[in-house]
Amino acid sequence: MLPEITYFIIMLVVFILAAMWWKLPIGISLILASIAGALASGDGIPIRHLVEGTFAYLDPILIIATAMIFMGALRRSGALGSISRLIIIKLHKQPFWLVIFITLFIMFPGMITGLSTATVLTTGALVAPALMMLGIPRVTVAAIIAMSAIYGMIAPPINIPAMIIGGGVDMPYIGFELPLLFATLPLAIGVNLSLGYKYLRKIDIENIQTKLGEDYVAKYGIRLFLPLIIVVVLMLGIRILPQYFPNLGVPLIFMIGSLVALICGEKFNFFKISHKAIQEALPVIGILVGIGMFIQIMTLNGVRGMLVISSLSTPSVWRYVSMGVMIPLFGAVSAYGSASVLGVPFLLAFLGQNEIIVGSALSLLTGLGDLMPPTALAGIFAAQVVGEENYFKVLRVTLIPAIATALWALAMIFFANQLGAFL
Amino acid sequence: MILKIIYQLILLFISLLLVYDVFKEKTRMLQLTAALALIPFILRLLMIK
Amino acid sequence: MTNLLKNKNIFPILSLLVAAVIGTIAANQFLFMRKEQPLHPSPALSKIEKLSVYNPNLTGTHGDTDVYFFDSGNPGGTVLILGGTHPNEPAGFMTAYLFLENCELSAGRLLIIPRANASAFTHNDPMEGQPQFITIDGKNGKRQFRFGSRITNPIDQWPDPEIYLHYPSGQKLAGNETRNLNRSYPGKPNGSLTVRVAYAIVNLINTEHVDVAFDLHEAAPEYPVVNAIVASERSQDIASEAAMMLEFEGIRYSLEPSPYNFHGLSHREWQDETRTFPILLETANPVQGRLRGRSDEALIITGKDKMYLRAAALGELHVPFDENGIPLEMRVARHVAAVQKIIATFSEYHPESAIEVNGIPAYEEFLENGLQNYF
Repeated sequence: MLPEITYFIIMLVVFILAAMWWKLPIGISLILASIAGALASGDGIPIRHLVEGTFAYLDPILIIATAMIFMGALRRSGALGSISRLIIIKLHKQPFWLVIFITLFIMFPGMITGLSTATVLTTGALVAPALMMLGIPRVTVAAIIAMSAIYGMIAPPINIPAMIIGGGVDMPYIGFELPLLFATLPLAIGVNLSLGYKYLRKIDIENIQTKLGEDYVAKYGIRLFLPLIIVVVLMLGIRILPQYFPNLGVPLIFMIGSLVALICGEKFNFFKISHKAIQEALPVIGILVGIGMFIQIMTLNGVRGMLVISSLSTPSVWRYVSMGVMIPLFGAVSAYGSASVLGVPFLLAFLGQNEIIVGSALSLLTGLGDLMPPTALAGIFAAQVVGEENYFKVLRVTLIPAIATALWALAMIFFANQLGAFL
Repeated sequence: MILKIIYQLILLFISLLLVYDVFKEKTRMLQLTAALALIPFILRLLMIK
Repeated sequence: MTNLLKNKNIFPILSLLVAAVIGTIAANQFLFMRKEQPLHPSPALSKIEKLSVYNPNLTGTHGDTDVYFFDSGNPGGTVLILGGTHPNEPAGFMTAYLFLENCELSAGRLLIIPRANASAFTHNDPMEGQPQFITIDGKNGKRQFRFGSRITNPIDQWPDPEIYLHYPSGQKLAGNETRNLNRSYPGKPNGSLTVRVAYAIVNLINTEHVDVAFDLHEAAPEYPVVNAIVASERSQDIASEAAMMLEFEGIRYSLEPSPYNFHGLSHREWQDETRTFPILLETANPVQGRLRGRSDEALIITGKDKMYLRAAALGELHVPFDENGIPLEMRVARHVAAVQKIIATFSEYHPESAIEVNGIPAYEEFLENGLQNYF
């Protein structure tokens, strides 16, 4: 038996003991598992490696922290509640179009940033109260938001996992638009209709209207939505007219939006909402810090290589099963990590097939990683947005859509050359 | 260059929030999480890593 | 102060102290990477210039680096060797170091930039678990060489955009490629540090009338372009003849054309922006691969890896791989042989610009004496 398997088992056991038995936060459990893995492979406690690993997700942590602050600001300024109000009042009579509109609306930030978390925390959080008031159960709302955020992150024009996978084989990010639309749009609409439509056919609008909060639009006018408009314009501008818009980066855009919210609605204490945002994000920040360490140690002691080679070792038909299972599973550490560590070798293994279609489909599989605990970036934040504490309840609802998504991706890979002829 | 300074300021702000949070978290393990999460922030803020 | 020392604050303060201690230990190790180990140029050295001479906007930055000039004093052409475009590809920079410390010249000039992306030598990539140094037991004792990252240190260039728009083509790549020197050509005088370095190198090639320019790399064994000579349109002929000659000597190289539609690569943009003959060389190095097992110094030096053995058995690799691995010595030997052969072929085709570099061992001789004998 390879010693790497032993290291891997030790790391898993320590993690499970720490997280389930001692009920430590996931972040701390990952750190302990990393230390155990390094000790097992005779590397002592490699402080340099452990700390280096924490840098892997520094930029995503900044995005999450600032997005949380922005959402807090929108909620306190009154913009969030007012948007729910508008959606309900304008669209409650056409449930089919309501679902389509909401799907595209949630997906939008993901399409232009390539980030599922930013999506969940912006448009996801905006529609969540409305969907719940319209009668969709809270976990289903979380599932709709999480799935839409993942499809948004994979949909064109910006798909970071596809770029990472393409970059690994020096394939420029060109010609991905149609394949990525094909990979996401039918699924997004189908999944959301199947999850949400049945609740929306019998809306009791009288009852709902009594529950709607105060109408801040009447009080502040369009100004109320200025922070949101600024964020959207900046994000879009950088994509569409990069020569005129400075590339500010997502964290700065969210900070600008948050500061603008200070003067565009109800007054609030900026430090207080910022601290509350950090406090809410802390478990996920801890997970990202711990995951960086965990992968660094897995790479140092050879466990990562063992996992990759084992995934590739499966013969032809099983290779599809292995892809469909391993890529989302590895997404438990992060979708981007999965794209780089498994997506690239699998694309190489399928060289000769239409590479753009295969790359697009692989990126869709990596997207599912954002549902996979412990990180489950899309899922956990979606649960948080609807106020559901037990993420596993959300995961259960997303299970069938996720399987459908994986099958869709695998079918795309299987028929890559045929699809390539007309996409 | 200006962008880098702005991002340093964002880092500083979040670092301060994290330090504050170390004292405000309810459980010891979350306090420790906040303290450990500070490490990459501070090392980047000081332009070490 | 007394307020702070309340009972409930003791654990938070302890946590912060623990974090501070861990951070300080790590910081020391990170900072150690900033120190440049000395190189010992051969007596043929005529001068050392800074790269910032070719782009003053690099002055005082971590992107500025030494350019070594070796001038035979006799007429002939000019060759440029770039090492360390990617400081995690050690055969690349070790080959440049080897030329720098051992060359003698009898015709033309040899220019060497051993640490093309100097900033990338000062850090390692997170999650790669790689060592900070490799140690060679050389003829004058042990010498340490830094093993860095593929891309510029974020200290010098941060934050990354989400999407890297290549200048001037507008090609889109993942955001962190904005720190990849070999995606930044032709560069521009102002802009990110990496783009400024790229500009300086292109400007140097033009100003110094470089006839043949080498960019030395390594790639993962599962990557399709490996053990390869990548040549642009202009250098196709000399590259294919050199590859054929190398093949006669039992050194296999595949010949790869420089892609037309992939921008930012050295060979692509040097072809379009200068009059040099661009050549990029790749060897196969398991430490970069995603299939590798334990990532340590031994893997870099010996090139032995049991996960790659399994990958070879599965037919996933583009190079032969057996239990002997692909040692650093072998990888450097291949680079050395290819560089010499290409210079010789160029000189044959262009006798008025001939370059004669001596003092560098032939392939077999090098493998016999061992890498350590040249450092």
